[in-house]
Amino acid sequence: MNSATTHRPVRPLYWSVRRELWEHRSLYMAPLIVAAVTLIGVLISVLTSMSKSLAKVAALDPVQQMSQLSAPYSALALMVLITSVLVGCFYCLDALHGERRDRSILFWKSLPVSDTTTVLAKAGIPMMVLPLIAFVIITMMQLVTVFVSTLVVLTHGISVTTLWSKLPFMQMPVGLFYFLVVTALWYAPVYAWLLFISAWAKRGTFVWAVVPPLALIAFVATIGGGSAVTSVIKSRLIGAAEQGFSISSRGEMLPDPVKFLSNPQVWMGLLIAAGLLFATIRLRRRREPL
Amino acid sequence: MSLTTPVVAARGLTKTFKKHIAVNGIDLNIESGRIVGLVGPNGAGKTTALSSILGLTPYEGELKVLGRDPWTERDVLMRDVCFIADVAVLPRWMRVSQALDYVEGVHPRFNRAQAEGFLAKTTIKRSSKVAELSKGMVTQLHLALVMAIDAKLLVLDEPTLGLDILFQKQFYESLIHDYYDKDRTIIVATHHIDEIAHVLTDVIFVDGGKIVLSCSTDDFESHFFELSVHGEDIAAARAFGPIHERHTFGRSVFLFRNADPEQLATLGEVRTPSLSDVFVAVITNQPIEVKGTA
Repeated sequence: MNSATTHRPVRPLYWSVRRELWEHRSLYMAPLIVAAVTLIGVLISVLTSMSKSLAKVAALDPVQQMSQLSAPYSALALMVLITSVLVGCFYCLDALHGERRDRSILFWKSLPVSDTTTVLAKAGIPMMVLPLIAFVIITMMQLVTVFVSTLVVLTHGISVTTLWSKLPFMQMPVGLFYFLVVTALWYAPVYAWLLFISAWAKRGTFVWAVVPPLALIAFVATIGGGSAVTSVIKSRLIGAAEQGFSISSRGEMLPDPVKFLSNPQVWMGLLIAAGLLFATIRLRRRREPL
Repeated sequence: MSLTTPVVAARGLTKTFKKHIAVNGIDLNIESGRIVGLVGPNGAGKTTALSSILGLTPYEGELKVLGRDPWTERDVLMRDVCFIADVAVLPRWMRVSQALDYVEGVHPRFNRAQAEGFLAKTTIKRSSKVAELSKGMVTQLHLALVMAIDAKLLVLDEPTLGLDILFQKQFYESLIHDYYDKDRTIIVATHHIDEIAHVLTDVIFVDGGKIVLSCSTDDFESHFFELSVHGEDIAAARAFGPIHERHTFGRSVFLFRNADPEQLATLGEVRTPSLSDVFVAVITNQPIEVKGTA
């Protein structure tokens, strides 16, 4: 009996997450590649037209200056973010289907890792690991852009003051982090739905994931009450920024955690996500190779 | 506790799929330190019974493995139970080093040095992916992982299926020499019964979801006899009530259960039959001619 307690400590959740990253290299490769390509575009525009545009920017009012100057940084961030959401969706759709397809579920189940740990590790990939990866990649790329911009400005003999004073150095990473958290929470029910389908469907996971919502929209539309359901689904899919930010009177997007957290739709979504994950854990226990 | 708790205790274990009964009320008691051969034709319910024992499928009836309910406690049970399923199930994308890292990271009773030791005897490279290994090497890798786990029960379902004869021999040799000891229990489901007959302590024959024979190999030798006789003694041999007969090269070979070997010896040569001959006899349960008829 005592021997059981003297054995090595183990970290099933940590290693379950690591193994997902081993299997799905696209989780970090895809955002990296998109970031690299976008960065090249941004750098080319910086190298060719930075000095000219900086002169124009100097003539604008301060808010416009800031939005003009931070535009490439936002573009970088948005591209990486969209990529990581897409990668997360495709990952979820395969996460519990692939292991049944290649029969490796029998290997995973032969080890002392619970279905709860397995499903939570997989859910943690799009909800925590991918946002973290995106944050690191975006921040690094933005630093490279700032560095190159500064070099360009300096070599043209222009003062760096406009660039450095107008770039929101503190707000950018904080705002980005907030946006990533908002996105993860807002998309939680989407990811959970996809995971559920990947555990449930025997084949055609994509069709099973997409057709029921579409059918629901079509059904509600035919009985005449279409717009409510459609707008709920639409805002769930593309409305993350709208939920978490407010537009100021000067046209700036400002983080608004109070608005976000007091929105019942956010909590409803999290509740649905929790329910779907619970169902997925129960399903995974019954699952055998296909 | 471990001295009194049977490794597997089942009463009325039943598993029903939509239309057919895969396992039909099995009673089973496997004590610690046994090597049990589970033998049956395809569709006999072997894999389903093992799936129940391993917590992979729900079931009806009572079932305790090492005192635990496998269906609700699979993750805890897997600290003491290992299994290798009937086909290669190691993920093909995984590298050998990753497999070692992962099992070490999640299994409290995995001894990495031991696994590395087993691998050192093979040609498997640490940097190879499972997809790059031959079928025999994948089995060697899986066996190396499993043998380095200090488990109480090891379940193997057709572990050598598709392996060439060299790997088959090596597989069972390492299992017996490097792994098995008195505190461990091994259950092997297989078709190739004669290949493992010499290492088994018990045999269980299943057919149609039921156990048709369950005995230790020692009992087996004192209960089953094979008698081969020539022409004129055939009728006399039949009078003793054989469970099976077959004819080869002008001789008739009868299989007896619970007969008196001394009486049989008066008619011809008496031997202990092979497990597979008894298996065929018990499963068909009627005298049929198997090998070349006269």
